[in-house]
Amino acid sequence: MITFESVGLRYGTGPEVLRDITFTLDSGSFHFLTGASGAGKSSLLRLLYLAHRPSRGLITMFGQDIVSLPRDDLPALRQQIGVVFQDFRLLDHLSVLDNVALPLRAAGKPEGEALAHVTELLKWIGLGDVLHLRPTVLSGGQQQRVAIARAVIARPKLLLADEPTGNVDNGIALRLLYLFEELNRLGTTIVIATHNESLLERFKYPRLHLADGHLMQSEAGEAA
Amino acid sequence: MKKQQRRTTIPLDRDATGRFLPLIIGIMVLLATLMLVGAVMLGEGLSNWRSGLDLKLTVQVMQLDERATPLAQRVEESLAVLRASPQVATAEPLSGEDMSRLLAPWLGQGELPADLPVPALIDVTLKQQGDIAVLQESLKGIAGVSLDDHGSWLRDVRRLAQLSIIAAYSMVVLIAGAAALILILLVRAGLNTHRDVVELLHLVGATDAFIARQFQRHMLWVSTQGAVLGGVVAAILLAIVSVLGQRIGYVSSIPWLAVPVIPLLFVLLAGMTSRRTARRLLSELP
Repeated sequence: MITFESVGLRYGTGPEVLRDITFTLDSGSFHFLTGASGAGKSSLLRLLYLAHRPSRGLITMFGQDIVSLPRDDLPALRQQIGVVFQDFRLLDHLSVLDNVALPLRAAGKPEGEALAHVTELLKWIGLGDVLHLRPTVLSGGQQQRVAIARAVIARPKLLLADEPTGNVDNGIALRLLYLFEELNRLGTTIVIATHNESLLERFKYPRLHLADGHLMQSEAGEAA
Repeated sequence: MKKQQRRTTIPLDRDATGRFLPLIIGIMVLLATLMLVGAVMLGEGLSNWRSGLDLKLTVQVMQLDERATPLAQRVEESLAVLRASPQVATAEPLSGEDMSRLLAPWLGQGELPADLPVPALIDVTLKQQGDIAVLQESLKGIAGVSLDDHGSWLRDVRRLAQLSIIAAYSMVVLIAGAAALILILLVRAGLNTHRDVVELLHLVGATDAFIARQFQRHMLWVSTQGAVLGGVVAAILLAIVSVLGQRIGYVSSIPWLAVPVIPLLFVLLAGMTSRRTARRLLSELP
């Protein structure tokens, strides 16, 4: 479903931050992305959520060649990818409801349908009483749930999370992982970038490990 | 409520840079409307004035020395030639009073001195515009007679008026161009200020058209406020000009159509410019 072949990435004229990255993510798989700070995890995630195109190599996602795909076709692909950012990136001037509804509005879903869907999801994750509040008045845990709700509202095929457990205690981190597992069981491909060793120990999913821009190993043996 | 929420996905209405945009657009709409109205009225006035003067000629019969045929006789001969011409509608000599009035700015009020060699003038009105060479040829046999069709100074005045009209239209175009440049700068500033929001929209799958529409809606709304303001002030000023013009006897119709058309054009310009600029800048994103 997602294939990287000899992918390299450099920003501008700088040095390559990713080198010769080759791996395959099967549809419905669950992977951790690990590596020290500066190893290239964020850059790899940026390639996965199509914020950048590679400087070299080949990327295939959902059957499309990303390198040669016309720019106008990228939004439709991005609509199939959900991202939970480390800093959540919620829009403070919008309500919780409008933040979560963003991907549906961007995809041109009818307003009534979108609002009903968002309200239902927010109630399901226990945020039914904060629908019309701004993210700034929510706790860190609530903001994180809003960020996750926004990432999954459009039922993405691929869910990417950048250090989703970085700002929460172990109890909440565990509940989050269970939520991601639930989504994975529903068929969503999951990639989680994390440093959290206790989670890595507890959840035995294959790892994509980056070191100095190279993909070093995968415990499930799926990466080169 | 829903529309309000959607309009502010990018919080452009909070930008300090756009706070004065309605006022700026209002002033530009006012200036452009007054310029356009002025140009149209000048063109119309010139056309009316020319149509009156184009059929007018003046025949001048100079004073000559005592040996020549007397002035009065040469005037009569000239009148006879003119009135016999099929081109001429009327030919009337100017009276002594008319001559005194014409020369009053230089020689003062009152009768002209008897020893002053003032020429006699004949006011000629043609039936229609045409070649006056035949008329000139007919008058050639009478000594001291010349025919003035006011052509040279009429041409100068016409050129000046045309230049004024071109300048007025150019000003309208320049004002519109300046408005477009301001809008381009504001869209660029808006994209820089809200880069994080724009990038997020981009990443959740929003198309360039979706994001550009946010800018277009905002600029349309703000420009409409300014355009209405400028249009209303222009209408009030033109109404005052119209009333004052009627009082002093200057009757020239005001092209009222410009009052709604110019604001509408500015709003369309704002919509098009903001959308195109946003799309062009967004195309630089990956």
